[in-house]
Amino acid sequence: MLAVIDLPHREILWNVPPGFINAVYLLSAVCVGWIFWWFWRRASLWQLGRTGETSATRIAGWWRLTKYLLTHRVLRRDRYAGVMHGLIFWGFVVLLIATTLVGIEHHFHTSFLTGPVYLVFSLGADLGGAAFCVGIVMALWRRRNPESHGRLLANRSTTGLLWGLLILALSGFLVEGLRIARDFPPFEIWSPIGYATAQVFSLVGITAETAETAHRSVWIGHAVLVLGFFILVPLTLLRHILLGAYSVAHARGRPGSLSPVVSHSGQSVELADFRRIDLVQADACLTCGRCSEVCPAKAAGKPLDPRSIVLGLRAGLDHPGSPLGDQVGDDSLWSCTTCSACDAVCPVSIDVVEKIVSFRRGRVGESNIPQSAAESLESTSQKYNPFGSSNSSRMEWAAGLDVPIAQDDEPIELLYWVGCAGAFDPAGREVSRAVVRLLNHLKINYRVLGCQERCTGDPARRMGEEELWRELATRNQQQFSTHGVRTILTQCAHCFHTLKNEYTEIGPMPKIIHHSQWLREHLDSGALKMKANANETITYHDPCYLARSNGETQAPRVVLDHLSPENRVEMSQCGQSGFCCGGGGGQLWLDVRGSTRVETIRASHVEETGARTVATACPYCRVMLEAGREGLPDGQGHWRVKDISELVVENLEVSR
Amino acid sequence: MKIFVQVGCEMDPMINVRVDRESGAAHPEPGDRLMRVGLSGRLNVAVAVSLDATEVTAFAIGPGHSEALQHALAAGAGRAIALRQADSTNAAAPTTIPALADWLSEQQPDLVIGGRIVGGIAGRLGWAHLAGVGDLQLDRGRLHGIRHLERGNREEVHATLPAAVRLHIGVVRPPYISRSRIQSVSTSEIIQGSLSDDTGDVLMEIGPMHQKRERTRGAQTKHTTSSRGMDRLNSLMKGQEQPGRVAEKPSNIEPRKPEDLANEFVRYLRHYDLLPESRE
Repeated sequence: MLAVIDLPHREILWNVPPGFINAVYLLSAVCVGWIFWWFWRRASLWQLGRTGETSATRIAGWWRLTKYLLTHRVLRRDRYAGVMHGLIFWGFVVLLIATTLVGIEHHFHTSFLTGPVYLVFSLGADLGGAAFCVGIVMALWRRRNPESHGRLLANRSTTGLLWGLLILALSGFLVEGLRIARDFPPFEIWSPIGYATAQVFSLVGITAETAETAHRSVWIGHAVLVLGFFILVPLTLLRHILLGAYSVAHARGRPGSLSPVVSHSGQSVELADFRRIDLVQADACLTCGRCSEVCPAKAAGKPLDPRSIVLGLRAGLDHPGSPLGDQVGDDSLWSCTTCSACDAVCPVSIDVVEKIVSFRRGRVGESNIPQSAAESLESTSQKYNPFGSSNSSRMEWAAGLDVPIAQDDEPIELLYWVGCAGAFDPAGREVSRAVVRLLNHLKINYRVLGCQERCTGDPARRMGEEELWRELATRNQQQFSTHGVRTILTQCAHCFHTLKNEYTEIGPMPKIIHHSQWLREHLDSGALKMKANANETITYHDPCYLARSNGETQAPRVVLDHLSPENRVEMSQCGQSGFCCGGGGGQLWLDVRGSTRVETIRASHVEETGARTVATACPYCRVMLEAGREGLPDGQGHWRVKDISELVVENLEVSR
Repeated sequence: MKIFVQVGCEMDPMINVRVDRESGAAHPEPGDRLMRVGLSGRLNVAVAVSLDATEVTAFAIGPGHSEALQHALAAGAGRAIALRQADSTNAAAPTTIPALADWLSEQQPDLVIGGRIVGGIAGRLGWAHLAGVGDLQLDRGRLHGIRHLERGNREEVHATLPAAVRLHIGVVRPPYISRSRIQSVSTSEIIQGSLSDDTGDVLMEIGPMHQKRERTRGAQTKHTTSSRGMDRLNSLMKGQEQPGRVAEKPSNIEPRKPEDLANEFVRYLRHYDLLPESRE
């Protein structure tokens, strides 16, 4: 049997005087206390926020965090950043585990880090440290020219922090190398980097005694850097280690929905008008700029920068006495289309749109909103639609069509929800007529509410008029209950989203289906048949509130594949990463100028595909793409915009 | 400084309305709302609030304006008063002016912002009157406004308080008042007040031009034959001369000589201080 002395192991905290060890433990406790104190003080500001729904259950939230950390899914969208952060993250985790094991062995006077366990431990710690260093170097390399990456802020403090972390990791290798250089135990070959470092020391003439003396000094320096790391955690973006994890664990499962607002001050925006998680997220922001990179308003040269919105809220936390609304500009707020592209790409799951709408609520409370928005809200309040048309003209789109209107208290199996765009906008009316033709063709028993239909309130809510949305939603929900509606069919992605995901906070809701899902169902079953059109090159624009907010990307594509299976082409940004048409968030009634228009950018994406037809599944998108086509240079824009229902009607095979 | 602003609900001019010929009532199309909070009243409140007054009071004349008063409270008015009229339902009727002026003189505001009747109120109370102005500002008890004229021309107008002002709604839009602010004042009290109901005296004082007349088909006044004339005619036809007889004067019509009418007219002008000598 081998003596214990012969088994691979090392003396924990070798060569460190007990006084130093105790001092380090004491200072570490102070630093941890400092971290607790900082977060406790900050939490008193977070507590000013309102309670709001976050994760469905705590278990679901923590499971989401676990999956997120294991897969780094959001980060991997930028491959370089994904690899970089993965190395830093896993390297740090391994080093943390190694340090913890060492601490356990030292404190509890055990000896489990021996033999093969020690060898694996040594190798793992070295590889972890190496991964960490490589990741930090990748981060520093990227920051040496931040402008080339567009979204990164030139920030000396972050660069300094990265250098500090690199030095911290390298000092650990120096400590290990000096320790190994004392005796060169053969099993330390299992610490390849430490062993190589020791050999370098030996080559340059450092003796065993010198190594022992230097080891003590470098160890103290390493300990000081570790303490510095603790101190900096709450003061720098290192706090995302804690706050980012908290944010991810409490985030919604899917972007786009707004949280219930139990009470609102009705006046200028205050911290109390934000959810507590919003305030935590403001501190969790990494300033990485991914949100700004994907923002369609920013791409169109509008003043909006989603990162600035979050940092504006953080500034409000830093200066709680100053007016919170002054932290963000009016034009910045009113440029947002609420497409939630920013929410989808945020590595710490910050709900940027939620914050923008909260700021907008404050603006509405102050009566500080653009004239056009005010007119739209007044129209919604007085005439139950944002288009300014009289409510009595809500059924004019159905002229010449046989559309059954529900009578008072009549039970409704399937309610066709036309929506305001479908009722009042000329292009939207074509969509409604197409849907009704299909419903009548299939002889489906359905009803419309006619002039009893009111706006769902989605534009009002997105513009910050929460109470108006609530009034409309309450009234609509009561209508559904009165008629005993079983299913609601709608062609508008905005109506679909708010009816399905937000009306549930008002009361029980029937099943909501989008017309793309309904068409798919009937095409797949053979109830509807289309003539295939091989000459039709089609591309599809994903409505944000259908694709990104509700994950529905396949149903419209399946519908189009029935028409043109071989000639459907995809745009550069599609699916859940689709580029917004520019019509959401009340933008149909707002007009903040930029260098170009969002819809024009999207029209250029259509142009790039060479498609003859761009299909969409939302009347807002249809309107905006038509407008975007008008903004293209001369010689371009020789394509048409059609809703998928219109294409189905065009190519419907009618059996005689 | 106390400012009184007139508010009210009005028919939405952008909807189709069917008017019942029998009752004169207006009916909107199904699904439409007939009444809305008047834009002019909303603007009045907004301007009053912006003038940094110590007290802004919104008032409405007649029934059916509670929504406008509530809106005014949400917009920043400190008080809302619903004034009940004794007789006329038309808040703009000239008969309202004296009663409203009397009420306002009791309230002692420094500035009244309202509709068409503010001119009559200013005349009755001897106040300055500015009409069709925008960009109203107050500086040491003096009002300054911009009146927008045709072809983009503008003129500056000034007045000393107390004054009555009618704003030009086309230039400035009233701000949007959020639903949450309106709901926050839903339990606020709307004070109930009433205007003087001795319109009989007012009518006599005003003169024959504003006397009530019976409404007839086709708005023709009923032709009442003088019984004295008929008696005389009958007597002539019957060959019965009744010289010297003075027939009874009809109870409802008094024959007015031109001099009587002229004196009545002068009294009317003097009543409203419209005679040159009354202003000196």
